[in-house]
Amino acid sequence: MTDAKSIFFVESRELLDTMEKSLLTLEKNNSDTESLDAVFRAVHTIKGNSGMFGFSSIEDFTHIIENILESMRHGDVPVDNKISELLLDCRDFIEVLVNACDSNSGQALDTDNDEYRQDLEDALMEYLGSGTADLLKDKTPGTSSLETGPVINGRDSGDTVINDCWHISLRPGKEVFNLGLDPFSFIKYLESLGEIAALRTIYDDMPCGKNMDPELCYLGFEIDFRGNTDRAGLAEVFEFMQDDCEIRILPPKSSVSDYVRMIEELSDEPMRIGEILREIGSITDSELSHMLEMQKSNGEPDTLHIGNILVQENMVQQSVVNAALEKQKSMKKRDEQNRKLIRIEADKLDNLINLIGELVIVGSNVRQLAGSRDSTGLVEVVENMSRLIEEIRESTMNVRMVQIGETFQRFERVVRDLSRERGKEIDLVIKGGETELDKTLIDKMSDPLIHLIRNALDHGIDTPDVRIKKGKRARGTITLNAFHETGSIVIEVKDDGNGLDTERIFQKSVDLGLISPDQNISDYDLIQNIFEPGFSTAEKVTNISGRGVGMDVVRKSIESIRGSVQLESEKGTGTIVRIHLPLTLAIIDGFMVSVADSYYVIPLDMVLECTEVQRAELDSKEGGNFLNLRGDVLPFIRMREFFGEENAGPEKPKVVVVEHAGRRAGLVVDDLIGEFQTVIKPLGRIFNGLRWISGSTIIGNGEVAYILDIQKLVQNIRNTDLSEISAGESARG
Amino acid sequence: MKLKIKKSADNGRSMFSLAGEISIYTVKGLKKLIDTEFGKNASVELEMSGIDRIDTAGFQLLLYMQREAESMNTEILFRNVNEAVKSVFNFYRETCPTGA
Repeated sequence: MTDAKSIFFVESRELLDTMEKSLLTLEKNNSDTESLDAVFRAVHTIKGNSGMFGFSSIEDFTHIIENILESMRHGDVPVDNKISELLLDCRDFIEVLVNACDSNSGQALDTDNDEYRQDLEDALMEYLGSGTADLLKDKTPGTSSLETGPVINGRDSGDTVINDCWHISLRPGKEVFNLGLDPFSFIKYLESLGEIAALRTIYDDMPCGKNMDPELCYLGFEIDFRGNTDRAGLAEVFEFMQDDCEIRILPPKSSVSDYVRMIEELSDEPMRIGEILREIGSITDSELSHMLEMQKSNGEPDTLHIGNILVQENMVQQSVVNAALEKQKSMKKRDEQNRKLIRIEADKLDNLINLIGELVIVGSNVRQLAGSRDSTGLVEVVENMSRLIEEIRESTMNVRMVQIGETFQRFERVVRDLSRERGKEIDLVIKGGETELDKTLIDKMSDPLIHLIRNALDHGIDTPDVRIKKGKRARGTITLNAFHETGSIVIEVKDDGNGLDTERIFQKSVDLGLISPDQNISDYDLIQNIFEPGFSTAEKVTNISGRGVGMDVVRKSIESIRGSVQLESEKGTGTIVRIHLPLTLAIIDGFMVSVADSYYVIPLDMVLECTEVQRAELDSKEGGNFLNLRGDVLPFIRMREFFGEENAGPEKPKVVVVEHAGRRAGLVVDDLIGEFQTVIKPLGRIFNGLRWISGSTIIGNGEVAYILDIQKLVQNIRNTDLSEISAGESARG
Repeated sequence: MKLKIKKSADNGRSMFSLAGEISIYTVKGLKKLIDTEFGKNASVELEMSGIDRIDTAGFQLLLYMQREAESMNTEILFRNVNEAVKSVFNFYRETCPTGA
């Protein structure tokens, strides 16, 4: 049960996501019936599931929303932005309710929420016609909390039946006549309270011939009653026979599903009763078809068969049955789609991936050992095994891959809400939503992305009138883009706003001591400073302070998943924040090199090429560490020197050309060992301060190899070069 | 609380003259009598003018008779149905049985 419940919460949240997405689409295009249907399905499912688990607070609330949505589907309530907005608020409130139920705080919400709920319900009720709120909520037979009278306004309120009468289903027990009870007098008494709008006697259960005992009661009654009374008042009428009969009382404007439930409880032949209800006007054709649909989705066996019989007997129009069957088909299809997916606990998957990580390491060790033995057979077998391990690794990692589009979609709401709040008009454009990324990475990216979007919205893009003055379109655009680039995933957050004010940033950087006042620095490098801790130009931060996340926190979260972030900005045109993320977290294809006695691993997808140089050539470089790579300038770093190795190294060192975020650099190493599939093991806590190493791994001979943090190295090489250049320039100046 | 039944026959048609009430107290006897007619005679005629009360059991029996007659291919005619019967049928929104 606990498992089922947790699935309920997961599912509800997914459905709420769907609901939000569809509502936003609906807001853009009010006539999009598909989105409306999607919203309805989401709410309907949440309602049904919450009822199953006894979360009545969710059930009752969604019930009302469902009614509104049904009316919208029927065109009785027009679809406009006002109602979409209200529904979005309701969606948020359902989330609050779901969270409350999930956190085991039961359904105890504070009074603020109660008031808010009441506000929402009142607003919803305005669409459904006044006064029906309580009626809609009360649908549990036998409770007498209902004090309001029926409301006669003749409006079709969607899922609720049009009929404004109380519906009473009476099934006297067989023995009532012998007990001296005559249903006639009880039903007759109703007339003193109001009007019996319709009544139908059911005698289908009456046996034929000798089997019929005339002293037993085989009758049943379906009664539509219109009168100013409450449930308790009606129940009182039948009080004397309540022990000897089955009675169901549905308040006016009950939902179709309540009718379905009632029918199912009452009769072996539900459709016959459904048809009777339609005949006497309790329900309409469409409501009956809705019932059919519901019964089918409830998994009623033989429904098709019943449908055929109904048509043959002219009990239901073919069109009604067809419509119902059509719906049933589409529901089945959805079920099948659902069945193709399996929910797995993230922990189980993580465990599997860890194990595969170990397998990869051991596999590599075996391969290296096999290579050192002179046995062709062994090498061949090991090669096969390695290939299989790689396949296993890839398929397992694929399991974790999730399209980033889903995460992007969530920001639509953020953009919509915030831009309204700020009086701005902003579109969110999503590109590359199909790009796949490790689920863990996506989860960790959510907060930084929201922060960047908020920044763009708050500070980047102006209000429409200001934009028009600047000769721009009134509507601003924030673009979210995701794509692959040399071994990483790039996520871009781009706005067409003001761009960054480089002068202010320069000033601030000087104030913070990040640069010297006379330093010659490119705009590109200058603006990266805003990721530094404590960096804020007062004007820029006022609005978002209070969010508790600064740009340095954004950078830290991205770096914590081995990503990097850069800014590009042009004043007056806009800003692009570019985030580079590794493809996966734990396992990489590495390229192993050696420097002195140590082994280092470079992520293979960052390696562009390898080349060989003469040591003499490198040593002859003066002023800067640059190589001429087929006419291009390539900054390089001597790894021996960098890691403080003392000897000079081989005569012909190798250069590994790596690229990160569009920047290239050469790493001068002693020797190239080759490709190496490896699992990144984090270094112990005492090595936290190491800047150029992102992890370690164990190689075949039992030694430890260090995984180089190429991103930081490349940055470092660039910075060193720049400082050398500027130092050179100032020396010359 | 009595129902007087007078039976006569004429050319394959059974005729019953009923007087009193058709109620939980009398339905058993009446059913027994009428059941024997179904399938035997082409037509059964009930003279109803003497009925001064029916209750729900009676109402149920009259519904039964109509249904049974139809399934047994026997014509059943209710003659001179009075207000006592009509009011109950009207109340239950059932078509009041009549005879030609």
